[in-house]
Amino acid sequence: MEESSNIIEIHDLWYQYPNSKEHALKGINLTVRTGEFLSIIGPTGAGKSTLCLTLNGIIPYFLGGTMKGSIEVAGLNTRKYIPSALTSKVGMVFQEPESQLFSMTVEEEVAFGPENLKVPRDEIERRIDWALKVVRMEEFRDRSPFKLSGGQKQRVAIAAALSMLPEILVLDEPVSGLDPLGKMEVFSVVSNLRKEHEMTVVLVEYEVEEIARFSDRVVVMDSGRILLEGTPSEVFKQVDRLRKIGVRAPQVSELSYLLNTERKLPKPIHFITFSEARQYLVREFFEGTKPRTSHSSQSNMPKRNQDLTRPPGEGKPCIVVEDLTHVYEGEVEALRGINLQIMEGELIAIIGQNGSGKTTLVKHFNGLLKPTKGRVLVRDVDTREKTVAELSKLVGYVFQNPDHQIFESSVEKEVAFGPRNLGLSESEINQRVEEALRIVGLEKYRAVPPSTLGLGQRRLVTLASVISMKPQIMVLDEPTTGIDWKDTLSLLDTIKTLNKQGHTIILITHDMRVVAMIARRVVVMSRGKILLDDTTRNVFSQPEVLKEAFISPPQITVLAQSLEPYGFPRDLLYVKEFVSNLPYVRKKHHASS
Amino acid sequence: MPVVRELYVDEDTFIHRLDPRVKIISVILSMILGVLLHDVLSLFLFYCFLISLMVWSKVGWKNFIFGVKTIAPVTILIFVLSPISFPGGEPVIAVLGPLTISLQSFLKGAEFVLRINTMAFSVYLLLFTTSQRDLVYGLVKMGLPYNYGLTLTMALRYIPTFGAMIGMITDSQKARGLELEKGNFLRKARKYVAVAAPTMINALRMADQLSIAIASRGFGAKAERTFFRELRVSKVDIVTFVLVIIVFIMIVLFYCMGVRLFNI
Repeated sequence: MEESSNIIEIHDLWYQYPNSKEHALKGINLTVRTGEFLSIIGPTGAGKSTLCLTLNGIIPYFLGGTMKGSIEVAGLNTRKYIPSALTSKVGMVFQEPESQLFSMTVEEEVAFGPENLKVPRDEIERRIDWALKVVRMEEFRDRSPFKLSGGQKQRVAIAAALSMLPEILVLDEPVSGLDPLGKMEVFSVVSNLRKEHEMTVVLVEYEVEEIARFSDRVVVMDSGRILLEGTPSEVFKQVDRLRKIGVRAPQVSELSYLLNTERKLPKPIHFITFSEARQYLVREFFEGTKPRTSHSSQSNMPKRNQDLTRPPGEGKPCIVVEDLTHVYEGEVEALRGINLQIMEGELIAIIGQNGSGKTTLVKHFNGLLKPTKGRVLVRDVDTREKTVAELSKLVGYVFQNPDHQIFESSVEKEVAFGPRNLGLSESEINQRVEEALRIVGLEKYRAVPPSTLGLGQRRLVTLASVISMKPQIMVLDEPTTGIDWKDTLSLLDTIKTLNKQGHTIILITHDMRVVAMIARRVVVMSRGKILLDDTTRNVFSQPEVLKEAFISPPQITVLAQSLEPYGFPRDLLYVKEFVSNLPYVRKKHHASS
Repeated sequence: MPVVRELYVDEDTFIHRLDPRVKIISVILSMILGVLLHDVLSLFLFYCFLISLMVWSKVGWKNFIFGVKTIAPVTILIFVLSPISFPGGEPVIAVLGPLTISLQSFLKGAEFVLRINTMAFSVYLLLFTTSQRDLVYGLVKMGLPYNYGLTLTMALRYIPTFGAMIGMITDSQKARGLELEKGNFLRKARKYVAVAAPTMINALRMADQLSIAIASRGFGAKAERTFFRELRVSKVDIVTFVLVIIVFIMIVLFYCMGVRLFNI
């Protein structure tokens, strides 16, 4: 009975959305074994979400379109059943917590599925207890889902799917909108499902470090096709190929890739997980060498990239925050005595969990919020004396969700909206729109309705619509959230260009790799206060303090820090730096000489 | 950010514990009384009774004042307009230009004010002491089809979500130099397109995702469904219900027999 061990069987599956010229899925062949943990990665528009929706019959039953090929899930042909009949086989968790939690309380949310399946009441009671225990949300049973944090909401969504006792759990980007703590919470629940409950899991995500840790198999998709498939190590060792597809590999995989090409190793190595990498490095490079108590006494200085070490505090300040306290009406203090100076031409990252006060702080820079106590000066002007419209000439603000501002019928008009509000002449507006479109590289799309573009491009539209107002200072609120690595890299390039042109950039982000790549200075916030304010290197070399804010530095930095007893520098930010700091002579050669 | 108030006050009092169905029926009866009672003194006593219920159910001053505030515009309007709405009558209290204020018009105005307030406070009492979930559940148990009940739940559930969304959209557009406060009515209306259009698009997108989520959770899989929450009718509920009915019928009977506490 070889057959029965496959819970999903897809053969040559083609699918085309209604009113679409191109196929979203182009001949997918995929089998998933019972109890397997399968992860799907790939750039946006690859067809990952579409594939997920075919698994419980939402496609084609609900969304229409044309479908060819065969698909069988838990022994059922999904095309022959309505989605609600498949729900006891396949549980779904989606990206947006707000649009999948619709009940008044957590309990009702989890009960909704089994209620629909006409499960007896005492059985529902048992399932709620169990599901909430699995996601560790027992004490939130009577709370409103709306009032929970992002990570808690997604855990409730998982419990709501689990209560139908599905054989397969499909998670479509469950963490991409969450802060680091939320991601951690959700991933620990998901990995437990695999370990303790032997559930078949299909996961779509961008977080490759986590995927590498607990997937049995990884599938890489691009434009409707499966390009790569195999164990995490088979897939992630192809760092170059992944880069071309627009997917990043775990940093430790990049490290092994670079070691293989730069150092002539007797046998090529492949790291997938942190512990693998550390074990190998210790064994091959450090074992037997004397552990050092401090690396400062080292004769050879650590080698580092130079461009990012510019100390904060240069130039003249363009934003000065003095003893800023902010209290939302009827709530606790969101900011508690913030003091901060941002210099002209800086590229500064503000990091911290949701609710730590990051957004509240930056909303003071363009006057959307006014201080409850203390003051904020933007180019020596007190923000209380200016309207938001007046300040918008000085401080541009790109919001996290592009769909909260896009409303015009073409990209061009959208970008012209800001300059028009400034009351500029028609020729000046046109000139600014041209320039802004050129900077973000959207000239081709000028006549296209912006709402039809992909998320990455919609972000660029909102960026252009702020660039066209020519503010010296720009605030970018989580600009890389939910977009793939390819779009992230091109966005970061644009940000660097703007910074080189003299714009001061203030970046809010949860992606520490992004921080390491472009920020010169980092402000860490926690519970309405500034926890750390220093150069990126200095901030990331204090993991103990960062832990308080539930932040962990990039994987490569953590790896370097774990090798500190062997005299390795603790403030490395890049894979390249890491390799150049490794001793040239490996331990075994060392011993023989 | 505009925060939409949740009316429910999380307390554990006698009124909170009552079966939502008893409360819903009582509110309907109380509103009928509000229409039926025609003398100021009865209405005033009834008003005091409702306020004492609010005190008993630990609703709190803040919520009471919130209730007063929301109906204040109507209250004031009725009172100010009473000399015009109910002209004539004796005795005349004051003459302001062409307006004659009589005791009768004053009392009539007071009557209408009290009527509006008793009706509003009955409803507020229900909303302050009944969670939205129990309210909807009570309605479904009283015969409202489940689909409407679910729709109502979701409508209530998404009020704060949409409130937050509109707040963020407004902020996004203000940050691009939009000045909603400036200009005449027409220009203002046009400016609000910048807020209304993204709101609509986002609401539709959310509705799409929501319908997929609901289908994925087995909505409509079976013709019948289980209701996990049970409403258990206790002795207290029955006694209260009977009492409410008896008092209501007695008041109505006395009224039909022409008994008034106060006559003008």
